[in-house]
Parts: sequence; structure tokens; C-alpha cells
Amino acid sequence: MKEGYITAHEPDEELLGPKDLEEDVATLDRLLAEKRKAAILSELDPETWHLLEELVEQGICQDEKEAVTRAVRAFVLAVSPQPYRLVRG
Amino acid sequence: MDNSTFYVSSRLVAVSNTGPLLSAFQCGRVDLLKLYLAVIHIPQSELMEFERHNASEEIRSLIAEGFVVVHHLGPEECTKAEELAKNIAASVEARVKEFEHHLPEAEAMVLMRRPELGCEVLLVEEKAAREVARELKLEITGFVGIVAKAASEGIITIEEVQCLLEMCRQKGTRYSDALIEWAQEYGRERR
Repeated sequence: MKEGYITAHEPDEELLGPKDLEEDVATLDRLLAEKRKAAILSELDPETWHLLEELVEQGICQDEKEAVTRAVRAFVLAVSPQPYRLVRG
Repeated sequence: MDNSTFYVSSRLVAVSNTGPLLSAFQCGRVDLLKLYLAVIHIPQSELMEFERHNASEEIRSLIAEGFVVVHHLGPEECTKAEELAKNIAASVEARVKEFEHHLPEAEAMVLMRRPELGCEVLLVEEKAAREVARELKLEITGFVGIVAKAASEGIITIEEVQCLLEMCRQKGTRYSDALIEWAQEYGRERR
């Protein structure tokens, strides 16, 4: 890399300030969090995916979202010392 | 779950203006972009800018590895970009009033709207271009935001934040004292 020779972009233009930066990081945090949520299903191993599909095919759950929701709620009820503070409805 | 695998698939698809990539080249930390971004799309017109700023070698290396993808704009997209460039030039924040000067960032905004690319965030650091991007309701961030986030996660130290942004500044990038201080403060508070 010849980094010493790389000149600045738009040296005449005003760049972002501290307030912009605060928004920039908040944007990154939010977008990455959304992306992580969306990535969870695609990261599941094939066996777990198959189980999800079975739950839907057998009519136990309407779709994968319902299966995950019910599974997580059941898990919290099983392992949390105060589950009713976390699980509503 | 393997955290590293999870992390890789959770990165964002971006379009970048020339500036944020140049800053990463100036301080030698393209790796920080790769922490949070899966791919960066750029318009063809930016290649000339990278050449003018002596960063041809660096950008071509990123293109070769697939991290940066270059796109030609169609006639309709060029018309839209010209309109946006005029809006940028007309902004009170713009110092350079010739719209041609703002075409690359305008073209980057047009690329953000290509549905097939699935772009999620635009990297741009000039105030005038940001103003127009906000009007288009585009999600925006920049190299400094990425540096601050990396510091908040302990990936780089607070001292490195200052060092990296000072390196960019020494090469002419107009990051203010207040901006650099805030980036350090953010990283410190969020750790």
C-alpha cells in the first residue's frame, strides 16, 4: 500500500460533524441489529430447519415464525426462575 | 452457534461515495469496513476519482477480491443522478457549486435505489450530499462512524481512533477536532 500518496477527497467541502456522527453510529447499530435478526433463520442447521418444517407441515404451527415464537416462550417458561415476568399472554 | 459465522452473515450491503473509502485507504484500515459491510457497490465514475487521488491500486485490489463492485448507470439513472447532483450543488452546505463535481455522490445515491442490489446503507461524509441523501430517506453513515463503532466494541483502542483519524487529516481529509473527540468519547462510553 502506498498510503502516503493518497490525497483527500473533496478538500473544499465541509464534512460531517459530531451530531452527524452520533446519528451515523446509531444507524449502524440499528441496521446491524436488524440484519442479525434476519440472519438467525438462515443460520439454523439443516436438522433444526427440518424440525421447523415438520411443525408447519403437521399443522402444529401455522408457519416458522409461530414455531420459533412458541419454542422460545416454552423454553423461557421451562428455565427462567420468574418466567411470568418475561412471557406475556 | 459459531459467532464468527453468525457475524459474517450479519454484515450490511453498502454503496459508498469516494471519500469514506479514501479515508480507509489513507489510514490503511479497510479491514474496519469489512467488519460491518459484506460488499460495497460503487458507480463507474468513482474509479476516475480514485485514480485522481492516487488510490487506483487500492480500489482495484478490492474489486479483484469482490469486496467492491463497480456499476455502470443506465440513461435514466444518469438523468436522475444529474438532477440529484444539481440538488447537492444547490445546497447551502455545498462549497463547490458546479453540479458536475457532485455527480459521483449523486450516482451513488441512484445505485442505492436499485432493488436488485439490496443496498442498506450509503457511506458519504460531505454535508451537502448528506442533506440530499436524507431527503431521499436513505440510511447513511461514514468511515468515522465505522471507526467509532469498532472502538465501542473494543476492536480498536480509543488511542487508535485518534491516530487513524489524524492520519486521514494529515493527508488532507477535513475531519474536525470536535468530530475526532466525539468519536473517541463515543468509543469510551459504549465499551
